[in-house]
Amino acid sequence: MSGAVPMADSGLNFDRVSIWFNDPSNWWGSDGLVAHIREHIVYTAFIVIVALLIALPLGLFIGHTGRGVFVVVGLANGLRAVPTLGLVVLLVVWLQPKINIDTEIPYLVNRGAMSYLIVVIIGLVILALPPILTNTYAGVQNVDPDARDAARGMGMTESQIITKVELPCALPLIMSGIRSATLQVIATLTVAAYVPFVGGLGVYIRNALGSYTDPVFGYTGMVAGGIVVAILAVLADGVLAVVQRLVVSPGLSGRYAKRQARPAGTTDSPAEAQLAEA
Amino acid sequence: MGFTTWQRLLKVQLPIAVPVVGAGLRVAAVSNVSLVSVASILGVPQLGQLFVLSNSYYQIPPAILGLIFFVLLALIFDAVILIGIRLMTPWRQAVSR
Repeated sequence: MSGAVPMADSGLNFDRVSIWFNDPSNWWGSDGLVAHIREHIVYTAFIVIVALLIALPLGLFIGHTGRGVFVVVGLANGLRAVPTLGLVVLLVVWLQPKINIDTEIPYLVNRGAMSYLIVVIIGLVILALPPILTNTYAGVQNVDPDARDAARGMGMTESQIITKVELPCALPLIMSGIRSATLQVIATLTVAAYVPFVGGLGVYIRNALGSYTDPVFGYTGMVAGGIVVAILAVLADGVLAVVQRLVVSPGLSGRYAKRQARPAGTTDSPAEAQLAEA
Repeated sequence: MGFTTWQRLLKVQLPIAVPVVGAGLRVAAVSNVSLVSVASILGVPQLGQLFVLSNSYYQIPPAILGLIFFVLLALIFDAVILIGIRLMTPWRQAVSR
Protein backbone atom coordinates (compact mmCIF):
# COMPACT_ATOMS: atom_id res chain seq x y z
CA MET A 1 0.00 0.00 0.00
CA SER A 2 1.70 3.11 -1.17
CA GLY A 3 -1.30 5.35 -0.57
CA ALA A 4 -0.69 8.33 1.62
CA VAL A 5 -2.98 7.09 4.37
CA PRO A 6 -1.76 8.16 7.80
CA MET A 7 -2.40 4.98 9.76
CA ALA A 8 -0.67 6.09 12.95
CA ASP A 9 -3.16 8.79 13.91
CA SER A 10 -6.13 7.85 11.82
CA GLY A 11 -8.66 9.22 14.26
CA LEU A 12 -10.42 5.84 14.18
CA ASN A 13 -11.75 5.07 17.58
CA PHE A 14 -14.99 3.31 18.30
CA ASP A 15 -15.73 5.49 21.29
CA ARG A 16 -15.68 8.43 18.93
CA VAL A 17 -18.11 6.60 16.65
CA SER A 18 -20.67 6.30 19.44
CA ILE A 19 -20.09 9.94 20.35
CA TRP A 20 -20.65 10.77 16.68
CA PHE A 21 -24.00 8.98 16.74
CA ASN A 22 -24.99 10.74 19.96
CA ASP A 23 -24.45 14.21 18.57
CA PRO A 24 -27.78 15.59 17.26
CA SER A 25 -25.95 18.05 15.02
CA ASN A 26 -24.75 15.09 12.97
CA TRP A 27 -28.33 13.92 12.44
CA TRP A 28 -30.31 16.95 11.35
CA GLY A 29 -29.97 19.68 8.79
CA SER A 30 -29.43 19.64 5.05
CA ASP A 31 -26.08 17.85 5.44
CA GLY A 32 -27.17 15.59 8.27
CA LEU A 33 -27.50 11.85 8.55
CA VAL A 34 -31.28 11.90 8.13
CA ALA A 35 -31.06 13.88 4.88
CA HIS A 36 -28.42 11.50 3.49
CA ILE A 37 -30.39 8.41 4.55
CA ARG A 38 -33.43 9.85 2.76
CA GLU A 39 -31.38 10.46 -0.39
CA HIS A 40 -29.92 6.98 -0.19
CA ILE A 41 -33.32 5.32 0.15
CA VAL A 42 -34.96 7.34 -2.63
CA TYR A 43 -32.08 6.82 -5.07
CA THR A 44 -32.00 3.09 -4.31
CA ALA A 45 -35.76 2.69 -4.72
CA PHE A 46 -35.69 4.60 -8.01
CA ILE A 47 -32.76 2.58 -9.37
CA VAL A 48 -34.26 -0.78 -8.43
CA ILE A 49 -37.65 0.16 -9.90
CA VAL A 50 -36.07 1.27 -13.19
CA ALA A 51 -34.00 -1.93 -13.33
CA LEU A 52 -37.14 -3.95 -12.56
CA LEU A 53 -39.11 -2.24 -15.35
CA ILE A 54 -36.38 -3.20 -17.83
CA ALA A 55 -35.38 -6.65 -16.55
CA LEU A 56 -38.76 -8.13 -15.63
CA PRO A 57 -40.47 -7.89 -19.06
CA LEU A 58 -37.25 -8.90 -20.80
CA GLY A 59 -36.73 -11.88 -18.48
CA LEU A 60 -40.35 -13.00 -18.84
CA PHE A 61 -40.12 -12.70 -22.63
CA ILE A 62 -36.90 -14.67 -23.09
CA GLY A 63 -37.99 -17.18 -20.45
CA HIS A 64 -41.32 -17.73 -22.21
CA THR A 65 -40.13 -17.82 -25.81
CA GLY A 66 -36.63 -19.15 -25.25
CA ARG A 67 -35.47 -16.61 -27.84
CA GLY A 68 -32.19 -14.77 -27.39
CA VAL A 69 -31.36 -16.71 -24.22
CA PHE A 70 -27.70 -17.11 -25.07
CA VAL A 71 -27.21 -13.46 -25.99
CA VAL A 72 -29.18 -11.88 -23.14
CA VAL A 73 -28.04 -14.17 -20.32
CA GLY A 74 -24.45 -14.06 -21.58
CA LEU A 75 -24.62 -10.28 -21.70
CA ALA A 76 -26.12 -10.14 -18.20
CA ASN A 77 -23.30 -12.28 -16.83
CA GLY A 78 -20.78 -10.13 -18.66
CA LEU A 79 -22.27 -7.04 -17.02
CA ARG A 80 -21.41 -8.52 -13.62
CA ALA A 81 -17.74 -8.15 -14.51
CA VAL A 82 -18.05 -4.45 -15.34
CA PRO A 83 -16.75 -2.40 -12.41
CA THR A 84 -19.39 0.14 -11.36
CA LEU A 85 -16.74 2.71 -10.45
CA GLY A 86 -15.24 2.55 -13.92
CA LEU A 87 -18.63 2.70 -15.59
CA VAL A 88 -19.71 5.70 -13.51
CA VAL A 89 -16.42 7.52 -14.18
CA LEU A 90 -16.73 6.82 -17.90
CA LEU A 91 -20.31 8.10 -17.93
CA VAL A 92 -19.34 11.21 -15.96
CA VAL A 93 -16.55 12.09 -18.34
CA TRP A 94 -18.37 11.13 -21.53
CA LEU A 95 -22.14 11.44 -21.02
CA GLN A 96 -22.58 13.99 -18.23
CA PRO A 97 -21.50 17.06 -20.28
CA LYS A 98 -24.13 16.11 -22.87
CA ILE A 99 -27.01 16.16 -20.40
CA ASN A 100 -28.57 19.59 -20.08
CA ILE A 101 -31.21 18.87 -17.46
CA ASP A 102 -30.86 20.90 -14.31
CA THR A 103 -34.03 20.32 -12.39
CA GLU A 104 -33.87 20.94 -8.70
CA ILE A 105 -35.90 18.73 -6.37
CA PRO A 106 -36.14 20.09 -2.84
CA TYR A 107 -34.52 17.91 -0.17
CA LEU A 108 -33.38 15.35 -2.77
CA VAL A 109 -31.47 16.86 -5.67
CA ASN A 110 -29.34 19.95 -5.19
CA ARG A 111 -28.84 22.64 -7.79
CA GLY A 112 -26.51 21.41 -10.51
CA ALA A 113 -26.60 17.79 -9.33
CA MET A 114 -29.26 16.41 -11.68
CA SER A 115 -27.01 15.59 -14.65
CA TYR A 116 -24.51 13.83 -12.36
CA LEU A 117 -27.32 11.96 -10.66
CA ILE A 118 -28.74 10.72 -13.96
CA VAL A 119 -25.32 9.36 -14.89
CA VAL A 120 -24.95 7.57 -11.54
CA ILE A 121 -28.45 6.11 -11.87
CA ILE A 122 -27.61 4.72 -15.32
CA GLY A 123 -24.44 3.11 -13.96
CA LEU A 124 -26.25 1.53 -11.01
CA VAL A 125 -29.23 0.34 -13.08
CA ILE A 126 -26.71 -1.59 -15.17
CA LEU A 127 -25.41 -3.08 -11.90
CA ALA A 128 -28.93 -4.05 -10.78
CA LEU A 129 -30.01 -5.60 -14.09
CA PRO A 130 -28.11 -8.96 -14.08
CA PRO A 131 -29.50 -10.44 -10.84
CA ILE A 132 -33.11 -9.54 -11.66
CA LEU A 133 -32.83 -10.60 -15.31
CA THR A 134 -31.15 -13.95 -14.73
CA ASN A 135 -33.45 -14.82 -11.82
CA THR A 136 -36.60 -13.92 -13.78
CA TYR A 137 -35.41 -15.99 -16.71
CA ALA A 138 -34.46 -18.93 -14.47
CA GLY A 139 -37.77 -18.68 -12.61
CA VAL A 140 -39.80 -18.87 -15.81
CA GLN A 141 -37.64 -21.71 -17.11
CA ASN A 142 -38.25 -23.66 -13.91
CA VAL A 143 -42.03 -23.44 -14.14
CA ASP A 144 -43.50 -26.94 -14.29
CA PRO A 145 -44.16 -27.64 -18.01
CA ASP A 146 -47.35 -29.46 -16.98
CA ALA A 147 -48.72 -26.24 -15.48
CA ARG A 148 -47.96 -24.42 -18.72
CA ASP A 149 -49.60 -27.17 -20.77
CA ALA A 150 -52.66 -27.17 -18.51
CA ALA A 151 -53.01 -23.41 -18.91
CA ARG A 152 -52.75 -23.74 -22.67
CA GLY A 153 -55.28 -26.57 -22.59
CA MET A 154 -57.72 -24.35 -20.70
CA GLY A 155 -57.58 -21.94 -23.63
CA MET A 156 -55.37 -19.26 -22.10
CA THR A 157 -53.66 -16.93 -24.56
CA GLU A 158 -49.87 -16.65 -24.48
CA SER A 159 -50.00 -13.35 -22.60
CA GLN A 160 -52.40 -14.88 -20.06
CA ILE A 161 -49.99 -17.79 -19.58
CA ILE A 162 -47.18 -15.34 -18.91
CA THR A 163 -49.06 -13.13 -16.45
CA LYS A 164 -51.27 -15.72 -14.73
CA VAL A 165 -49.09 -18.83 -14.65
CA GLU A 166 -45.43 -18.13 -15.29
CA LEU A 167 -45.12 -14.84 -13.41
CA PRO A 168 -46.75 -16.08 -10.17
CA CYS A 169 -44.82 -19.35 -10.29
CA ALA A 170 -41.53 -17.56 -10.90
CA LEU A 171 -42.16 -14.93 -8.19
CA PRO A 172 -40.04 -16.51 -5.42
CA LEU A 173 -36.96 -16.48 -7.66
CA ILE A 174 -37.78 -13.03 -9.06
CA MET A 175 -38.08 -11.67 -5.53
CA SER A 176 -34.74 -13.14 -4.53
CA GLY A 177 -33.25 -11.45 -7.60
CA ILE A 178 -34.78 -8.13 -6.56
CA ARG A 179 -33.45 -8.59 -3.03
CA SER A 180 -29.89 -9.22 -4.12
CA ALA A 181 -30.08 -6.33 -6.60
CA THR A 182 -31.33 -4.00 -3.85
CA LEU A 183 -28.53 -5.02 -1.51
CA GLN A 184 -25.94 -4.46 -4.22
CA VAL A 185 -27.35 -1.04 -5.08
CA ILE A 186 -27.49 0.10 -1.44
CA ALA A 187 -23.87 -0.93 -0.93
CA THR A 188 -22.54 0.36 -4.25
CA LEU A 189 -24.41 3.66 -4.13
CA THR A 190 -21.71 4.79 -1.70
CA VAL A 191 -19.33 4.76 -4.67
CA ALA A 192 -21.62 7.31 -6.29
CA ALA A 193 -20.46 9.98 -3.84
CA TYR A 194 -17.14 9.90 -5.69
CA VAL A 195 -19.05 11.80 -8.36
CA PRO A 196 -19.39 15.50 -7.50
CA PHE A 197 -22.70 16.87 -6.14
CA VAL A 198 -24.27 13.44 -5.64
CA GLY A 199 -25.49 12.77 -2.11
CA GLY A 200 -26.40 9.58 -0.34
CA LEU A 201 -24.51 7.98 2.51
CA GLY A 202 -21.33 7.81 0.42
CA VAL A 203 -20.64 11.46 1.28
CA TYR A 204 -19.28 10.32 4.66
CA ILE A 205 -16.74 8.16 2.86
CA ARG A 206 -15.86 10.87 0.35
CA ASN A 207 -15.52 13.54 3.01
CA ALA A 208 -13.25 11.35 5.12
CA LEU A 209 -10.78 11.10 2.23
CA GLY A 210 -9.99 14.78 2.65
CA SER A 211 -9.23 14.83 6.34
CA TYR A 212 -8.94 11.51 8.16
CA THR A 213 -8.58 13.08 11.58
CA ASP A 214 -11.57 15.41 11.39
CA PRO A 215 -13.84 14.51 14.36
CA VAL A 216 -17.04 14.83 12.31
CA PHE A 217 -16.03 13.97 8.76
CA GLY A 218 -12.86 11.94 9.29
CA TYR A 219 -12.57 8.19 9.82
CA THR A 220 -15.16 8.44 12.57
CA GLY A 221 -17.80 9.70 10.15
CA MET A 222 -16.67 7.13 7.60
CA VAL A 223 -17.20 4.25 10.03
CA ALA A 224 -20.53 5.73 11.14
CA GLY A 225 -21.65 6.03 7.51
CA GLY A 226 -20.60 2.47 6.82
CA ILE A 227 -22.56 1.21 9.83
CA VAL A 228 -25.66 3.09 8.67
CA VAL A 229 -25.34 1.63 5.14
CA ALA A 230 -25.11 -1.89 6.60
CA ILE A 231 -28.15 -1.32 8.83
CA LEU A 232 -30.06 0.11 5.87
CA ALA A 233 -29.23 -2.96 3.78
CA VAL A 234 -30.43 -5.35 6.49
CA LEU A 235 -33.65 -3.35 6.96
CA ALA A 236 -34.31 -3.22 3.21
CA ASP A 237 -33.86 -6.97 2.96
CA GLY A 238 -36.29 -7.44 5.84
CA VAL A 239 -38.89 -5.23 4.18
CA LEU A 240 -38.50 -7.10 0.90
CA ALA A 241 -38.81 -10.43 2.75
CA VAL A 242 -42.17 -9.25 4.10
CA VAL A 243 -43.18 -8.11 0.59
CA GLN A 244 -42.19 -11.52 -0.73
CA ARG A 245 -44.40 -13.21 1.87
CA LEU A 246 -47.30 -11.01 0.82
CA VAL A 247 -47.01 -11.35 -2.97
CA VAL A 248 -45.95 -14.98 -3.37
CA SER A 249 -48.92 -17.29 -3.56
CA PRO A 250 -49.29 -19.35 -0.36
CA GLY A 251 -49.72 -22.42 -2.55
CA LEU A 252 -46.16 -21.93 -3.80
CA SER A 253 -44.36 -21.12 -0.59
CA GLY A 254 -45.84 -24.18 1.09
CA ARG A 255 -47.62 -22.24 3.81
CA TYR A 256 -51.04 -23.16 2.43
CA ALA A 257 -50.19 -26.84 2.44
CA LYS A 258 -49.02 -26.66 6.04
CA ARG A 259 -52.03 -24.77 7.29
CA GLN A 260 -54.98 -26.25 5.49
CA ALA A 261 -54.53 -28.80 2.78
CA ARG A 262 -53.05 -31.57 4.91
CA PRO A 263 -55.50 -34.06 6.31
CA ALA A 264 -55.54 -34.22 10.11
CA GLY A 265 -53.01 -36.58 11.64
CA THR A 266 -50.38 -36.31 8.88
CA THR A 267 -48.47 -33.33 10.28
CA ASP A 268 -44.77 -33.62 10.99
CA SER A 269 -44.76 -32.27 14.50
CA PRO A 270 -47.09 -32.55 17.49
CA ALA A 271 -47.24 -28.76 17.73
CA GLU A 272 -48.68 -28.51 14.23
CA ALA A 273 -51.15 -31.28 14.97
CA GLN A 274 -52.35 -29.32 17.98
CA LEU A 275 -52.69 -26.22 15.82
CA ALA A 276 -54.70 -28.15 13.27
CA GLU A 277 -57.07 -29.42 15.97
CA ALA A 278 -57.47 -26.01 17.56
CA MET B 1 -18.19 -49.54 1.78
CA GLY B 2 -17.57 -48.83 5.45
CA PHE B 3 -16.96 -45.08 5.16
CA THR B 4 -17.13 -43.06 8.33
CA THR B 5 -19.28 -39.92 8.37
CA TRP B 6 -16.24 -37.74 7.69
CA GLN B 7 -15.02 -39.93 4.84
CA ARG B 8 -18.49 -39.87 3.30
CA LEU B 9 -18.58 -36.08 3.56
CA LEU B 10 -15.12 -35.53 2.05
CA LYS B 11 -14.98 -38.32 -0.54
CA VAL B 12 -18.60 -38.56 -1.76
CA GLN B 13 -20.72 -35.55 -0.88
CA LEU B 14 -18.10 -32.83 -1.39
CA PRO B 15 -17.11 -33.95 -4.91
CA ILE B 16 -20.78 -34.21 -5.89
CA ALA B 17 -21.32 -30.63 -4.67
CA VAL B 18 -18.37 -29.28 -6.73
CA PRO B 19 -20.45 -28.07 -9.72
CA VAL B 20 -22.81 -26.04 -7.52
CA VAL B 21 -20.00 -24.69 -5.32
CA GLY B 22 -18.11 -23.85 -8.49
CA ALA B 23 -21.06 -21.96 -9.96
CA GLY B 24 -21.24 -19.84 -6.81
CA LEU B 25 -17.48 -19.34 -6.89
CA ARG B 26 -17.68 -18.11 -10.49
CA VAL B 27 -20.27 -15.44 -9.65
CA ALA B 28 -18.32 -14.38 -6.54
CA ALA B 29 -14.99 -14.22 -8.38
CA VAL B 30 -16.35 -12.24 -11.31
CA SER B 31 -18.17 -9.68 -9.17
CA ASN B 32 -15.18 -9.36 -6.85
CA VAL B 33 -12.84 -8.50 -9.70
CA SER B 34 -15.00 -5.47 -10.44
CA LEU B 35 -15.44 -4.53 -6.77
CA VAL B 36 -11.69 -4.36 -6.19
CA SER B 37 -11.66 -1.23 -8.35
CA VAL B 38 -13.36 0.70 -5.53
CA ALA B 39 -10.20 0.45 -3.42
CA SER B 40 -8.39 2.69 -5.91
CA ILE B 41 -10.30 5.66 -4.46
CA LEU B 42 -8.31 5.08 -1.27
CA GLY B 43 -5.08 5.02 -3.25
CA VAL B 44 -4.48 1.27 -3.27
CA PRO B 45 -2.43 0.70 -6.42
CA GLN B 46 -4.22 -1.51 -8.95
CA LEU B 47 -6.07 -1.38 -12.25
CA GLY B 48 -8.83 0.76 -10.77
CA GLN B 49 -6.43 3.70 -10.73
CA LEU B 50 -7.10 4.03 -14.45
CA PHE B 51 -10.58 5.20 -13.44
CA VAL B 52 -9.22 7.68 -10.90
CA LEU B 53 -6.84 8.91 -13.60
CA SER B 54 -9.72 9.26 -16.04
CA ASN B 55 -11.73 11.20 -13.48
CA SER B 56 -8.97 13.57 -12.42
CA TYR B 57 -7.76 14.37 -15.95
CA TYR B 58 -11.30 14.27 -17.35
CA GLN B 59 -10.26 11.98 -20.20
CA ILE B 60 -12.21 9.03 -21.60
CA PRO B 61 -9.45 6.60 -22.81
CA PRO B 62 -8.14 5.45 -19.38
CA ALA B 63 -11.67 4.56 -18.26
CA ILE B 64 -12.32 2.50 -21.41
CA LEU B 65 -8.94 0.80 -21.08
CA GLY B 66 -9.72 0.03 -17.45
CA LEU B 67 -13.12 -1.44 -18.30
CA ILE B 68 -11.55 -3.67 -20.98
CA PHE B 69 -8.85 -4.87 -18.56
CA PHE B 70 -11.37 -5.59 -15.81
CA VAL B 71 -13.64 -7.60 -18.10
CA LEU B 72 -10.63 -9.53 -19.47
CA LEU B 73 -9.40 -10.25 -15.94
CA ALA B 74 -12.87 -11.45 -14.93
CA LEU B 75 -13.02 -13.71 -18.00
CA ILE B 76 -9.61 -15.19 -17.13
CA PHE B 77 -10.71 -15.87 -13.53
CA ASP B 78 -13.93 -17.41 -14.83
CA ALA B 79 -12.05 -19.63 -17.29
CA VAL B 80 -9.60 -20.82 -14.61
CA ILE B 81 -12.43 -21.76 -12.25
CA LEU B 82 -14.30 -23.46 -15.11
CA ILE B 83 -11.22 -25.55 -15.95
CA GLY B 84 -10.80 -26.36 -12.25
CA ILE B 85 -14.40 -27.61 -12.06
CA ARG B 86 -13.88 -29.76 -15.16
CA LEU B 87 -10.73 -31.30 -13.70
CA MET B 88 -12.43 -32.03 -10.38
CA THR B 89 -15.50 -33.64 -11.94
CA PRO B 90 -14.10 -36.14 -14.49
CA TRP B 91 -17.27 -38.26 -14.32
CA ARG B 92 -19.28 -35.54 -16.08
CA GLN B 93 -17.16 -35.79 -19.25
CA ALA B 94 -17.34 -39.59 -19.07
CA VAL B 95 -21.13 -39.38 -19.19
CA SER B 96 -21.27 -36.86 -22.01
CA ARG B 97 -18.96 -38.87 -24.27
